[in-house]
Amino acid sequence: MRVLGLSYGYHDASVAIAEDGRILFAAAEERFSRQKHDPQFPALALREGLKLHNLELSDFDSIVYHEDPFNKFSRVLTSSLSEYPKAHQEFAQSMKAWMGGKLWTLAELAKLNGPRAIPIEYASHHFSHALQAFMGSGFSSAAILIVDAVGDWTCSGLFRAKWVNGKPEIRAVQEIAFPHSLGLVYSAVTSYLGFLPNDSEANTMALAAFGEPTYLAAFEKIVPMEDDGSYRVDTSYFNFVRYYQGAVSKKFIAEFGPPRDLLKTKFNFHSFLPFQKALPDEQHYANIACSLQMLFQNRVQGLAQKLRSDTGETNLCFAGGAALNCVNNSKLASASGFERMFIPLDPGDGGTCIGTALYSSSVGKPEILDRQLTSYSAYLGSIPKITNDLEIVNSLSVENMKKFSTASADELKRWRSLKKIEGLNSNQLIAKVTQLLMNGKIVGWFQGAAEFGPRALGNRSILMRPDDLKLAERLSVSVKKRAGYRPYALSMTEEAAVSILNPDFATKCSHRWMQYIAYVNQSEQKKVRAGLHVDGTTRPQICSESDNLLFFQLLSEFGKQFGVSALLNTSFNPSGYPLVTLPSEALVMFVRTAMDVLVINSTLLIKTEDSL
Amino acid sequence: MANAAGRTALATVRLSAKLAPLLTRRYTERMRDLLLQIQVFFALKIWKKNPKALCSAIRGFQAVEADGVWHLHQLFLRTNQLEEKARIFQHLLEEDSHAEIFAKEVGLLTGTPSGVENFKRHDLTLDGENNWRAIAYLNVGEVDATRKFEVLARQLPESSLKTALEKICRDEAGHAHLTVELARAFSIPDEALREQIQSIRQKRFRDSVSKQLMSVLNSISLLGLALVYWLIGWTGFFSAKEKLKQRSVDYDNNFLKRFSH
Repeated sequence: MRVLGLSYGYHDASVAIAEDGRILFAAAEERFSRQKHDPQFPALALREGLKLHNLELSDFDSIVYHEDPFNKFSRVLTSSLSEYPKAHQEFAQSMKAWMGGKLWTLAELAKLNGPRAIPIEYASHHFSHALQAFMGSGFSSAAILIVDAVGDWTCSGLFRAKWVNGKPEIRAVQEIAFPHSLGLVYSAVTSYLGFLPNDSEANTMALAAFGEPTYLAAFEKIVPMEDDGSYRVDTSYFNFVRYYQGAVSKKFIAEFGPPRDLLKTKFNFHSFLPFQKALPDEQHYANIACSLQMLFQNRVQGLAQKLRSDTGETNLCFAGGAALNCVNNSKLASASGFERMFIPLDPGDGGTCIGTALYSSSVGKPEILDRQLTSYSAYLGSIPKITNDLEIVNSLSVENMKKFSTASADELKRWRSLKKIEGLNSNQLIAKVTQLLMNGKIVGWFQGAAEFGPRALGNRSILMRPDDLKLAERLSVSVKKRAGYRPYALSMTEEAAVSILNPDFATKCSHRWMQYIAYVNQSEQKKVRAGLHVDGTTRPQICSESDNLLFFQLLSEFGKQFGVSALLNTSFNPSGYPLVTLPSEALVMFVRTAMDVLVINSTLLIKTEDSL
Repeated sequence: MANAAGRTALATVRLSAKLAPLLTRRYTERMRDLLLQIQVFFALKIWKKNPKALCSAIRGFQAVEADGVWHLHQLFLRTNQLEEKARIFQHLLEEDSHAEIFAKEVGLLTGTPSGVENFKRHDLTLDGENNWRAIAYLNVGEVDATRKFEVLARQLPESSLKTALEKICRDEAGHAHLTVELARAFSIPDEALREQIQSIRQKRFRDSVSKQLMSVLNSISLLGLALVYWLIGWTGFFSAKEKLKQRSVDYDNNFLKRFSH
């Protein structure tokens, strides 16, 4: 049974190809269109998946779509009618979008393969999330918590799941309906703080570490907890329906002050370097971020505890956009009362295609149950063919390339020539890269199949030694071009994790995919200080041999020389763009930034001071 | 500076004309320039009053440059000759830097966050058969964008945006030639390229007209829908209010459904 899972239409369009309960391919459209959170039909990702596995559309037994368009339409229509007559603009715009296309999504999908239509299946948004959370968790039964902005009608879903005769049975315990949405509250305040909603919620989370929860009581009033552990939202503080009026209402502004003006209030906080005392304005917004984060954690915690007591389950599967908040994830793992926890590779909307495709391709097949009780790999994406792409550097002059670099004058002075080393075997490659990392080089690391989901897990990563603060600052300013208050993550081997991370660090969950934060032991902080946030935490990826052999070997070899098998690891993407997909994209970033070394499979390009 | 940019532009066009008859300006093109100048004149009036519209326009420029980068990557991917690959890469670096310049400009102008405009990507280089189409597309894109930026740079008051546009115009001066040279390197006959450029121009013209028409239709349909809302929206008001009072979803929607068509 071969199934095509599709999620698209709002943000993070993605495609997954599953065969008898196994994922063959999964990728987000943004990786191919180079447009972050691209919502359009994932045509390019689908083309890549088909090509990679030598398939055609007619080879599929069904297509599964991640939403119920009719149900979602009813929510959109109802919400604009509820604000009659003020929501005319939102009504007109949304009806135009729905009548003009979105409502006919399933009919369009049915035409995808021409006259030989492929059966189309679809699920409600939160049921898709529930499948995404449970399938691949490895649990035979679990409680499922889904928290995101809004799907069809549901904003937060509490479910219980178990395998019965080779079929996962998922039953709702409670579904909290629109407009009572924790995700919408978080996104609205993110927008108020001057960040892009549905994109930069991680900025709000990072900023929270610099604030005090001085507004927590005010937020508690806006999102009070109910007696049963769930919550409600006082929507008079937000414009969930009349979004053209801005994310937050006048009432919110009256209580919390005006939204941050990006031109007036800049944040000078820094996650790993000393910074000047914050100006009152900066501190005010950081306090709001902190209060919001605390509220969010408390409410999700309340839902999890309710779920634990209602279901009696000891395993928790957590998904939805809220599960991208790694600070909250750790709190949930440590304090919700569950014994084990699983978060899917991409818990947001983009990852729903994996769950639905896995489910549809394995339902009623008890013989593949074992397969269902194991998790999947993160490296599900494209494997670009490396032909002669890197040969071109021989015919380009360094001076010409330097013209387009955004590196500082000093950095450019040090780049006199480009050295290419080819044909290294894996031992030689690792030895060479380790040496470069030890020498304080910033290395772009591009290997094999791309990771699915938002995290760079050692195949599309930028790496550096974890103790060098100046180098990390160079990485922020001249390579990643990102705000100083955003921390970096660490990749490490299991052995290193035991010595670096606080023993309280939850053993309840898997840390393969950088989804939780952990405190770093005081004694080890100096060694990995560039990968720490201001509160002494890091977001670790614990890499095993079976997960990613080459990356594991690199970490181990680096550990032999450095003393700790840990590297600072950040995503290989230019500012404002998704992770690189093509070698040429990696090469452009390498040339245009202050990155020192580029490794593409077994070929190294090194910017050197020696003239050739 | 504005005059300098203008002169560069003229020089570009003259040089292009010498290089290849493909780039000769015709009467219709001069008409299009005039229309562009009028368009820019009014746009500047609007932008002065509404900085958000200016941001949106610059986001559009950024998206156009980024779209060019995307097409160049596809072309790079499907080109085997090293020399051409290197040439495309050099071009890529420049276009990528232009997209970044516009992104920076948006950051300097706006106090509120704004996203990047999305483009529907159409890969013109599929299976290496249609490289010449991609080259023609790039040529038209370069020439049009340069013209637009030049007119804009001339009319803008002194500002960082003006400086950025002038820099981009200077950089873009050789791009049209580059596409022609690329076409020749790919052994694409001049005639075929000319035809392709013309057909893309015609298509762009049709697209632009239909876009204008669609925008009028769009406004009419939005007005119509708003009218429908005002006229009959009240009939659903109370039940909608009631529905939104429910804090829980009270029906089972948790199963895989099959769409019958």
